[in-house]
Amino acid sequence: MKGHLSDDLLERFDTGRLSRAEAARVAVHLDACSPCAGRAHALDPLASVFSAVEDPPVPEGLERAILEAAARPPRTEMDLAWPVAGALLAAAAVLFVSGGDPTGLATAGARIAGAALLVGDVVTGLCSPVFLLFVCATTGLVSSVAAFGLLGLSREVS
Amino acid sequence: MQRYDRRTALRGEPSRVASDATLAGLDETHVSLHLAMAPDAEEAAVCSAGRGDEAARAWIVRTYTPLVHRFSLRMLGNEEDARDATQETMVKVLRHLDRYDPSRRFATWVFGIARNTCIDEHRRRLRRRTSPEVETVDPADGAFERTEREQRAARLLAALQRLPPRYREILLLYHFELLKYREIADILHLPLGTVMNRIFRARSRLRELYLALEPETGVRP
Repeated sequence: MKGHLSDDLLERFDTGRLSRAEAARVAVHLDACSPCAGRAHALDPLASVFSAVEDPPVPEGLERAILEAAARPPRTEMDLAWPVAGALLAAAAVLFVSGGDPTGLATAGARIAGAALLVGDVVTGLCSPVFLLFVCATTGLVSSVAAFGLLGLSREVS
Repeated sequence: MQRYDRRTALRGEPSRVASDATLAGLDETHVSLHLAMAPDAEEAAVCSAGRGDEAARAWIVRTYTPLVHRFSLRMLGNEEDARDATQETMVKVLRHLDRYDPSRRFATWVFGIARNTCIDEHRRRLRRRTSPEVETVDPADGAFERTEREQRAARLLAALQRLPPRYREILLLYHFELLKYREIADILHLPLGTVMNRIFRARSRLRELYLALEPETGVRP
């Protein structure tokens, strides 16, 4: 499109009465031609209302908070390594202390871990993933120790 | 609270480009962002920031935080969520400057990140369901104290909040952020024809909502 766009074409553009291909061609012209872009903008009856809207104030301290947050090292996969290692250790402990009957305790451990994940789902948004993994690992460890205690007790009773 | 003025936002910019369109008496607001940014100077500042130049990083934050906050607030309709989304967006921008493709305008890249962050924030909010989906503005609030211009602006914001997000975002990018059609297509990953079509539909819907909110005074925009 050479030269400037006619008022008629701009009016049909503004009211959506051009085909997609024509509208796209007009848009390419408007992107490159400030006078035509200004005229097209003025055709919109709400344009003056848009310009009446004041910009919202930026919350105080936000820019400083952004710079401080960006300066902190981002979370990496290593941050997750310790909780994962803790969970694996807890699982290994369950298998180690269960002696000759690992199946029952492993099943119980899986159920407890499932319940912990369910609880984790509930509190999603309140806690970070790292914290959730830590909670799951701790729950698994505590429950396995408790299960081991109960197993020992039941063996003594029998 | 700091007041943000679109024109003063460019104060800290390394250099400016004269605006022929402004001299020609056109809508200064509409053309200012298209022409006011000096691409080379901005690219140089972004490069410096990527190398860890603290002053350049501070310039990016000072220049773009108001724009991202304005966009996030009008997308999410909630100050707290907008603050979180703005901080998350700007931190991502600063941490991933090495991923910026200089063949695109920096603002386009930033708004692409802001838009994705707002979508994520919106999903998180739906999961939490602790805050209302949209903190709607009641255009009748304080109507007696405000001028007609302010009342119209309040009605427009209220109408925007009632639009579906896909219509709201495209109008925000066009009317408030003053991006070009091609840049909007780039941000939304849509063909240009689809962008135009969506803008027409969004405008049409917005006019209906705006008129529905207008008191029976016969005043039209």
